Amino acid sequence: MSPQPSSGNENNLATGLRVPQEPDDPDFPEQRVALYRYLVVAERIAACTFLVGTLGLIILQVVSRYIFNTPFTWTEELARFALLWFTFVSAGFVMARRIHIAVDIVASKLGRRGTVVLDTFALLMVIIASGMMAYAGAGFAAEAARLQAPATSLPMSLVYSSAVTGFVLICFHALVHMYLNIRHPELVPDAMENLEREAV
Amino acid sequence: MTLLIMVISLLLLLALRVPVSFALLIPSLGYVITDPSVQLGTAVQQTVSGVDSFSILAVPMFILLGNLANVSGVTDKLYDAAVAAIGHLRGSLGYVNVATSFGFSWMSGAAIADAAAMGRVQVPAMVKRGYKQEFALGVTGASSLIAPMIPPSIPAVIYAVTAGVSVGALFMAGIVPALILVAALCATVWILMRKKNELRLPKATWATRGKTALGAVPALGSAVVILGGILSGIFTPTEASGIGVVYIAVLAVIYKALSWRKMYRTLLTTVETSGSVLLIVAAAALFGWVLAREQAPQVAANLILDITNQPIMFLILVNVLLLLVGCVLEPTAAILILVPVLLPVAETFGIDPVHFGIMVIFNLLIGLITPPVGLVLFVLSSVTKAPVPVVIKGILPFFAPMVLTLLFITFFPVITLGLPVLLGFL
Amino acid sequence: PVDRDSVEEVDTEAKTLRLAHVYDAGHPVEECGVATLKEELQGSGLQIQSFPSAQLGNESELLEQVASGSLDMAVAGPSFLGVWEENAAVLDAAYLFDDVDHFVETANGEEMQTVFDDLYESSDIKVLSSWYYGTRHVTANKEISSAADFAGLKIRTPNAPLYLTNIGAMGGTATPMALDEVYLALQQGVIDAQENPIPTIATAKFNEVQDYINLTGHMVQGVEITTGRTVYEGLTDDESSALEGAMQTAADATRECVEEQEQSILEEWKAGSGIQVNEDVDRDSLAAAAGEAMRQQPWGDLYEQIQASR
Ligand code: NA
Ligand code: NA
Repeated sequence: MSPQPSSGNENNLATGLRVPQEPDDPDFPEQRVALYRYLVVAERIAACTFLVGTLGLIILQVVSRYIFNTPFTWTEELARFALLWFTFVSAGFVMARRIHIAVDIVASKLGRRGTVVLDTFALLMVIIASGMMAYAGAGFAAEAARLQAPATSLPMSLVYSSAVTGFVLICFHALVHMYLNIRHPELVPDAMENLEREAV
Repeated sequence: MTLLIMVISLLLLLALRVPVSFALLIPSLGYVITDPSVQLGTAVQQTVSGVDSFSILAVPMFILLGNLANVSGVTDKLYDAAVAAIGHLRGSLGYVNVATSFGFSWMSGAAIADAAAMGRVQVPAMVKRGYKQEFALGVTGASSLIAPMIPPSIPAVIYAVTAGVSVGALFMAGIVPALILVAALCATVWILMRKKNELRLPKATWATRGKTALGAVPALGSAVVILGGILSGIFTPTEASGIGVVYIAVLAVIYKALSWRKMYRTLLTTVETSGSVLLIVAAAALFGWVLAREQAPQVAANLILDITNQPIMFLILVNVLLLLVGCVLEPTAAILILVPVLLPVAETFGIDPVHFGIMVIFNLLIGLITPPVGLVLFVLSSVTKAPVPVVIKGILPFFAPMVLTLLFITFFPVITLGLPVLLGFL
Repeated sequence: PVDRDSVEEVDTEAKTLRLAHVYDAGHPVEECGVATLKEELQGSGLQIQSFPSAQLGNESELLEQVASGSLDMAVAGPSFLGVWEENAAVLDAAYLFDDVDHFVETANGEEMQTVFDDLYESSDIKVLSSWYYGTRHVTANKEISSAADFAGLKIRTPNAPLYLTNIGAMGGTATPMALDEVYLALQQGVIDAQENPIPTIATAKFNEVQDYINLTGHMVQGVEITTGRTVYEGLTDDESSALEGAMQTAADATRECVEEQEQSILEEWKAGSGIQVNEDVDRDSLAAAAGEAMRQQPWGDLYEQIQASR
């Protein structure tokens, strides 16, 4: 599957960017750096696996209740933990595609330069907050290692590590985009383009 | 004072285009750092706890369900059946549009999915048949709001978890209001189309009608699975979401609509939407924890009680507030932020949390078709390539049935509470 | 029209302690326990700011917050304390206590003091007081009088391992489920039975969808009021003794409220035509069956000690 060249955004055309049309098409930095591409592909596959795994656990719970007569007591807890990992890995991938939901009122009124400045500021905020969350989460996860989840006896640190992983990914992707904003300001999506990316 | 700073920084960060999730996280982190007794780890704990819920599990499942229904082509089958059944009426494609959305609403929990699917297929079809593009866009956008009112519904799940009420009860409470909305939309189509005698299709034969209706039956089977499962107590709403996904997936395989590649992309589209929404859920939990710790509900109660102590006035105030918030904020985020603060106040006024929930949800849904941040407007614009102002112009006449439905929901609790009480949910 | 008297007055001089729990504002824990605590502490230089209805988190989260110092006080059940100090869970074991007096004596007795001290030592969670929460009974659509009657019965329990073990030991099949799904599940026959204290059964209206309440009394249950090391060590001697006194009065008040509710609701059911009250339960045979499983638990010795001490 070859990604289609963008017809809408001249800025992107000028740099040879192929705007991804499908969620599995590589985005600009993925097209440039193989290592980065592997990371994002790994995120995609991990997120899908957690999603399908959660689904499987829900079905298993129903089946165990009606077919085996003695319900498994650990399916619910494990499904919740899978959901947590799904959430934070997905949130990392969403940051790689820079499509976290935002409010574009001010951005849509600004010119090109203003948009770039605003977007870079927003990225800086994301970097600081996700960095703090990752740092705090690592400490919290380490402390929670002695606590066990009631039904599965899994260490609670496994649960909190999901957030650590997610915020580390978000922080890293935000840093990449910040670098791109400075090196290739022409790549920063317009407010309207943002809305479309988020909406579909 | 602390509360004021929290709210102002949230609004400021939102205006500066910081993602909603981080606009919630940053002021909360600021609070945690400035209070020496609160450990930073608690911020992580509350963020995680926001998503650590079996009910929230239904959110990605319902998103996946809607996406699967879209790619599997069941929407087309609903459309064919509706055209065959009522195509000969004046302005028929308007009714067909509403009817297809109503059918799809039993599989889809979000308005966006509906608007994207219907916008892609029906708007061009309507324009080709001589309908004005504005009208086609308007009826598609307005009827997309049926999806989150009928079960399954993502905002209903989010509200139920936030308010601590039964997901099943909230699902049932949305059905009658949705039917009123359908009736109001049909009435609007009738009014707009009453002079357009030329806009009708030849009457379909009974054979065609039967055949297309039969084709739509398996699609509606997912409604039977989800609703029947919940009503009979066989599944919880979360389990029903999983069973529904499997059902539609099997259907898609039978229809040969699903290659591995398509399957992977459907999963990834679900990942994109869920990742964004669930991170907001997580961040809002921390923000809500800070608000609760600073006794925001009590502060809000005092503020509101200074203005009025009449339930009717309170409901009117809340409606106005929510309509304004809905203009700028996505429903999930708005529910997560506002409900913990407003619900305790509503309860002191003797308003039932389920009734209040449907009112809040429908209010915020109207925000989806209202500028400046109406996601449905942008989806329609993006899939039809019509400029946003044209979409807005088309949707304007449909605000009348919306506001009418909202008034019914607000002032006649029996509309929301009747069905859940009848079925034993309340 | 709304009554504004409910808005609390705040003493700006006093040291404020945030106390959080998961019970709603109408529950005896809040209405009797916390209310008494607030009243008793007036003028002591301490005041309680209460956060009911899980506003600040569920029981395990609240304990984590107390342990780290983010929260001043939390109410949590023995099963949750057991996550931090294994032996604390013994208080939730089936047929540990004969009656409420036995529970009160044990919770304030030497064995448990040792356990609570270990808890404080290892996790900075200080147990200040134990309040009576209620006695759990099994409702079903048939009379349950002995372990044999439990065979094949699907009984809903909260999703915590010890509850499942308890029901399993008594001969039933435990099915974990969230409380707000239970009414419909009972009505539709997805499950056959459930177990809860009488006030909870009444509030959740399970008496509408079940034929019998069998007075199994398999758990005489309490909840612990906890605080963290920083808060506890930061109290002056005067504050500390004021708090201790207030806790004792609050514990008595809560017990009185719960027992009063249990009795009046049961009287109502006995007089009415709705749910039948089955008092003819062979508790000794159930206790014998449960005891075997309980002695296998990590705190088995402690279980025997407490039973012997009655
Ligand atoms: Na439609
Ligand atoms: Na729906």
